[in-house]
Amino acid sequence: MKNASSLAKPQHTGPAPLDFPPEGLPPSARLERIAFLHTAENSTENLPAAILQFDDPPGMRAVSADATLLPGANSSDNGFHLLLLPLEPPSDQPLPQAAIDWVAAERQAPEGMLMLSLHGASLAWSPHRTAVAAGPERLSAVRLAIIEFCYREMKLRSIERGVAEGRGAEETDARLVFEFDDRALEQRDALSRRYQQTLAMRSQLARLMPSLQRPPLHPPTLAGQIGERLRDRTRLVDRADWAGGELEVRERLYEACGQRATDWTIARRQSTVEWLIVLLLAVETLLLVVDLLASVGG
Amino acid sequence: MRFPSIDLLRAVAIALMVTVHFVENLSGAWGEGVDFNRVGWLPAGFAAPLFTLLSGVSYAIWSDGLSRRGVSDGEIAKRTVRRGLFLFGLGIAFNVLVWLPEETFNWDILTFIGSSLLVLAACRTMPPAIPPLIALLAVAIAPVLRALAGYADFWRLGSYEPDLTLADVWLGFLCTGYFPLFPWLVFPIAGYAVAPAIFSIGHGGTSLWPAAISASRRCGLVFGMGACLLVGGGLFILLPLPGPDGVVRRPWTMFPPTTAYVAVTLGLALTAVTLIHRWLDSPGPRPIGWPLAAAGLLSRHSLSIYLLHHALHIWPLWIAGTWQGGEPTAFWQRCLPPGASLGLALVFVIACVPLFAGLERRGYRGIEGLMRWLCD
Repeated sequence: MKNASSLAKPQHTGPAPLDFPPEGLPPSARLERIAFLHTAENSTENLPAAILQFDDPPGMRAVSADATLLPGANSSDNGFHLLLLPLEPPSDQPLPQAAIDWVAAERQAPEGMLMLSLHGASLAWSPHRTAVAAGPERLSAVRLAIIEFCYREMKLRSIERGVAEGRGAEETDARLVFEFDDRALEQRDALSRRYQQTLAMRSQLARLMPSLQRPPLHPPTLAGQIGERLRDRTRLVDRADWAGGELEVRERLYEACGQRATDWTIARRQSTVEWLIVLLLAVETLLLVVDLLASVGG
Repeated sequence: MRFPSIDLLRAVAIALMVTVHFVENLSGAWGEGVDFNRVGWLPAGFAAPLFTLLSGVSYAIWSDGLSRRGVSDGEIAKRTVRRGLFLFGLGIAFNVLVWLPEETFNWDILTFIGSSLLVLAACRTMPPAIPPLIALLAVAIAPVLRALAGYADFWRLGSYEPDLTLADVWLGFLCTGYFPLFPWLVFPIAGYAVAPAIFSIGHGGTSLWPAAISASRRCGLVFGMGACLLVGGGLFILLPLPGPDGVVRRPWTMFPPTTAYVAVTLGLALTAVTLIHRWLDSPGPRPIGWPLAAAGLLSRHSLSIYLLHHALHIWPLWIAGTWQGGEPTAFWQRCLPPGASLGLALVFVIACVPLFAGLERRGYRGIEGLMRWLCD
């Protein structure tokens, strides 16, 4: 078995491999893989019972997944690993160092690992690994709050990734708003695709916003406060605003490109008709000129 | 970018031109033993159409290359116009110096290619459907223009002999000269229009050919069009129809370029370009080695060869004629038997290979280099 320090080795891509249980954890520690799966993509008979159901999109549910049974459940993009540590009384003990190291071993979080301690519950969070320690009577509610937060955060991160991926193309495409030409016509399909992607991301963000900005529950609960604190500390609302601002600019850009492409295509068609008329007039003129020249020459 | 297929075909075209000119000018096209309207001389009529079609293809590839290198459309248009005017001016100078001043406005192939470059410069700015339409109209109205102008009145014993009046000069340029705009414009425009399909290039993004059609299918489509023209024109030639006066017309003549002649030569040129492109331009080892290198050399210096071969076989005729009896054209078309002229032409073409290879090694760029230096 590897020790905790070996878990902290930097990984080049993806989360560090799971070695569980790390040394130093109590035997009651439990690791589960939480996957966010859509009922439309998996047959309901194979799906384990839903831990949580989401209405965005409808049919999305969080399940405790066995990676070997559910296709796609082990993908880092649609779930995370949750380490649950039920604490014996007194339940205000800190999170064991081994659990912190295990979370820290994931190198995907650009902002690093997030630590939180609240009313006797403590947790370490990173995008694909979360460890939480709390009294057994509170652990279930805290687990649900973490799962819900992770789902929203994952959705937002997916939108942010899409926004970041489109930046290069956005800068290149910006010139087409004023300089649409023959060569740019070949890019019309790509422009249309990027516009659709932008709209899809804006729509996802719009659906996500109410859940990020909902008011705190009253009376406050530990789970509610943990969810709220996690949203604050990861600045979900601000990040959603920034992504929304960038998407708004991008939407305007691709709207303008689309308008420009349509105008240009219509102008091209009109120009073809105009050229046809010019050609017919030129032929008529040519016949007249040749006739005139022949009569003069003759 | 150079394509071996274009080099090979241009070399074939220039070799055929040299052959035709040597035999015609030294032995006579209408004399005993030689008749350009005979079936055996059919390849001779193929040279100019192939050469002019390739000028359109080369222009499409050249302008596309400039456009990809970021040269603006305006700059490409300027270079095209300068090149066109250079060739036009060179053609006029060539007529004066080689064919003597009275033949200044006989509208040879150089003045035609120069003029067609100006038309192609305009074609770059047109919607993609318009240039092929111009090509079609050029063929369609050519017989009408010839009839209006009274084509036969300008030709005597196979030679174009107009009066030196403004009206005749313009008529020669438009429809009665050796290479008038109508219908010859069809060849460079057709080359320009089919080049994106064959060589997978775009006219600055505009193309008549949808990107959804694969390159090989586009090539096949052009081949099919060429084959249809070839068969259609061939049927016209093989099945000549009687005219209104009951006399059966021969539809295969280069002067005037009949519609059947245009169809057959255009079809032959299109099929040849597509087939040889498929054969030679695919990646991998070339099927032929040194003949292709020699063809490349002839192709790169085709303009120089065109000028040089005229000077080499025409000027001695004029000098000998002037020396013998004061009439420069005394030996024209009756200097040598056709066989000897043919042999001389072959010797000239073969000699061009080491000659231009040596000149290239010495850094000589020829008249082509002068054109690039002046116009680009």
